[in-house]
Amino acid sequence: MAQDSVDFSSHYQFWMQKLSVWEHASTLETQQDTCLHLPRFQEFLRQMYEVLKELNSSTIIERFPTIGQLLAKTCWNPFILAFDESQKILIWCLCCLINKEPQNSEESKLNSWTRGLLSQILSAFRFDTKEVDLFIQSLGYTPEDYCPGLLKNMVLSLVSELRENHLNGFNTQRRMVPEKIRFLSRICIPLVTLPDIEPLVEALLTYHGHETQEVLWPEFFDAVNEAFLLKKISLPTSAVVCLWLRHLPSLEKATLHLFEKLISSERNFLRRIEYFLKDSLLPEAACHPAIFRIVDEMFRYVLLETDGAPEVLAAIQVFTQCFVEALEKKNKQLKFTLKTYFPYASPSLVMVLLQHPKEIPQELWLQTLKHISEMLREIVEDQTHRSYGGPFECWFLFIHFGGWADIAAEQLVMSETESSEALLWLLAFSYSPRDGSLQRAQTMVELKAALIHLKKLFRSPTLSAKDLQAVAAESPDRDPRPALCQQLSRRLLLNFLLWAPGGHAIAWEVITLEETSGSGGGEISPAQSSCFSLLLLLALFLDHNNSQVKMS
Amino acid sequence: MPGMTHSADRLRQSSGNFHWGLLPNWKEACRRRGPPSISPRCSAPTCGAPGLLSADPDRPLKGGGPLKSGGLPPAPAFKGPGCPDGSPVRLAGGWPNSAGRGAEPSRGRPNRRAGARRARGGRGRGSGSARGRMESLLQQLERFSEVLAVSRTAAVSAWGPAAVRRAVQWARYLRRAHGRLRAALEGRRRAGPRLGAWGGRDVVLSARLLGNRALGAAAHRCLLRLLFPGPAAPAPAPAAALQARLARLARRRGAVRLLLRGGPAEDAALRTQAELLLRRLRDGPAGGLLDGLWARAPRAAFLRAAAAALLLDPAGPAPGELLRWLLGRADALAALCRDLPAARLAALAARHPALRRAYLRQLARWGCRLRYDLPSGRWEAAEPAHVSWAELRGRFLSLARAPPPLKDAALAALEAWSARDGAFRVRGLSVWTDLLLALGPGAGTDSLGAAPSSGVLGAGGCRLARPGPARSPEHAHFPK
Repeated sequence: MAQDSVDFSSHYQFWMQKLSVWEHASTLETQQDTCLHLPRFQEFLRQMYEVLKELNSSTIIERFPTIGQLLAKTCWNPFILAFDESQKILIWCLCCLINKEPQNSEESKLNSWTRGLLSQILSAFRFDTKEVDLFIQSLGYTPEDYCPGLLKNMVLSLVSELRENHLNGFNTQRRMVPEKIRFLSRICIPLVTLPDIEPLVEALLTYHGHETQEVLWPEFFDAVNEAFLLKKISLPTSAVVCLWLRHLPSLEKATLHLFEKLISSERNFLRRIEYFLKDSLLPEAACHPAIFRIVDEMFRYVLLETDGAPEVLAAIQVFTQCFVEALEKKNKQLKFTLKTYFPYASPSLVMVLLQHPKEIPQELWLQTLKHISEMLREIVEDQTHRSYGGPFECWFLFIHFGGWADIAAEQLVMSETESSEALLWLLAFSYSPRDGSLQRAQTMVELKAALIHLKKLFRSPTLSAKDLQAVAAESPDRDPRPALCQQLSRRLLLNFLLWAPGGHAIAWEVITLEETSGSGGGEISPAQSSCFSLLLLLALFLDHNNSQVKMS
Repeated sequence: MPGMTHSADRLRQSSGNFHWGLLPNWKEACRRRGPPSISPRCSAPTCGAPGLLSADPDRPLKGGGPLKSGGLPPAPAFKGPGCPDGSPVRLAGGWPNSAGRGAEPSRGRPNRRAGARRARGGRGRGSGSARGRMESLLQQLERFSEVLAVSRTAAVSAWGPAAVRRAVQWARYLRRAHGRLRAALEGRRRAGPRLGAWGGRDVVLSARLLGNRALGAAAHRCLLRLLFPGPAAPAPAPAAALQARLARLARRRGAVRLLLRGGPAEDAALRTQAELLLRRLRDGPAGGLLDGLWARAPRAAFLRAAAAALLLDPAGPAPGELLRWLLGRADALAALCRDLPAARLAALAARHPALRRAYLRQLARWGCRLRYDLPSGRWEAAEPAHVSWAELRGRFLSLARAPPPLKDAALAALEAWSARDGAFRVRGLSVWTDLLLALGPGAGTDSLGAAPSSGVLGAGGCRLARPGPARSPEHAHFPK
């Protein structure tokens, strides 16, 4: 508590000094500095109100003899009064200053002075001329009726000036000079969250002048981006795209904001990931290659940092899906080639991968997968294709379209004939891109063995949940299989459960088994836990493919 | 609110029979708000106070039909020491007119018995009582407007905290009533001339009282507590809503001040005045309002706003009435043509053909008053008050620069008048010929000599200087 009050006192001194420098925010420097500090100052005002409301007027004056000065300086700063909720908190603070039982003339004077400040913030708007004032009065309206309309029309007129439009006969043909546009972007900083100002914010963002340098203030972009991310304003997608194209830090912040949301959300079903992604507007904005490349680059960075975490892989896959959807919607006006989005990839490979499996007939899946596998293998194993990047670049491209890896696993499980070498390679590659060809050949052999084992199991009439647990379990006591093969065989098992006849029934049996053994109160065995996580994965998968697969 | 729109449609279909039961959300809204929270001590008016809403909102309204009422609207029975002198008063209307002291919001208690009667009632009341209720609300509004008027005078020095509290509570109540009535009465002129301006009276009253130094200290403190309950006030409560509206007003003021740093905003100001004028015209009979404004409001401001209004929304009914009024008031029309800048008048003439004809007639009248001064070789005004040659020329220049229909009409008129004066291409003979020459070769000479288009002056057009021997302008005859 004592520490709090010490902190508050030092903040108080800091802001008192700032306000003295800012005065009426009449110079460029003071305006800039004010805008930079607006959110922090509002926080301070809130703190101050919390302190003041517990004290009576005389104690306040005793503890903070300069508080009158501080509040008066605040009242005179138009940037602070226009910002967010600052004016409201300031009024609350001033209300605390009013002495309920003024004992002497000093206290009465203070009350009267505070009243003056309050009415200065709130009382009638002053008209330019007496004549207009009288006219509005004769109409039966008041300055309070006039003010919102005036603001709306000022904004409209600025917007039309920006768009060099005519507005109902009010000709505003004079073109705005860059200095004025820069000025507007500065005074909009405290105002971005005021709904009346939204059209102006949008017009500023979409304004394209002939200047070679950015005319808008960087702090303006920051303020708009912040308000957009916190959903304090709603902007059309075109304006948001302009914002991100014009101000790279805003795009980076928006992407980081998305990552934070994805991380902080407890259970990320694919639907939920999709919701977050679409809500962020990033996939839609990514139709512009510059935005796509930056977001993609950030995804790549996160992927490397997390050593290929499945959540990140899922997010990249869903992002790509949403992006392709948005791209198809805009197909008619698509201005960029695929090369601009994936500059390091082979264009023919991108073309094949871009097809959604659902869009092509099922009987062609195998053929397409083989084609993909061959192209990838050629690039990865053949040193002459260096222009398309190394194995990592290929893999990074492939995981964008992770749906094809799922289809490959499904095809392996479902086909009655000998497993296709190409599909085995694709699956092995998608799980471990860094392997050399020898290592990968070994993985493929093991994968094939696991597949045969699973097929045999599923053909046996006495298949039980226990057998399933044995496959899924990491069996440390027996010959420890490499983690990679473990992952792959579980992936195949999942596909068996999904697609093989009777797979769903066995899945239910396992769930029941888990429940009964769990109710015994004993420790959960590693076999159980891995089975459980497998089922979670299954649930996740079903959630995504709900329309196709139903557990009955 | 879709429900409201729906009921408003039904209202229109019901040929003027206004039923309260047609407001489906009313009952629900009252219930949500809970019973009128009338403090036992100072029986201040709240939700049910003016006797328009059921005073017992928890009681379900049967069948959704019109509320039964005995002599609706039940006059709120006001009792208790309502006047500053403390004498018990019982007023039918709700607001005491304590002459000499200024209106003070009186203590009002809704007539609970009457409310209960209404609530119990079924269908079958005619529209007469419903209209009565409407009239009653309008009366309440009128009375409150007295309070509002007083709120910025020194008379508020007599208001104590209780009076301030009642005034604010009434203002909040009227906002709610207004919101619902507006939806129900959209398009109904019977709503009376005053309803339109009632949206934000709570904010107006609050701002006026806050800015009024005459308000006593105790009353002011009470006002602050009412208006700014602080962050603890729950969001949907009326107190919190008013607090938010006041904060928004302050923020909007701040925004206007910031934007004004970028330069003056005359266009926006004029447009706002025009919009307020139109809004007012939509609320009630235009004729009386406009006559009143012409008589009392500053004329220049009024005419500027009227012209701007005519340019804003030419399709709506309100500008139509404004235009009719203007065309019927020769003095107003003359002042409009005289005071407005040429470009604005050209825009008006381009938009409204009737105004174009009137404007050209006016220009003809002015032109005929000019005399040619031989020694100086110039057209000069006969009297200082008359329009000068330069000004007339400016007006025609502006018309000649307008888009085709207007430009053609203006030039054709000039040519017709010039032709009637003989169309001699000699300076000093006809002001019209000289104007045509002054407009330059691009303006009209290419079409000079062509037959004037028949529709220019139209049936109601100015029968200008008849062809005849009298060529000089002073002989021109302009019938009214």
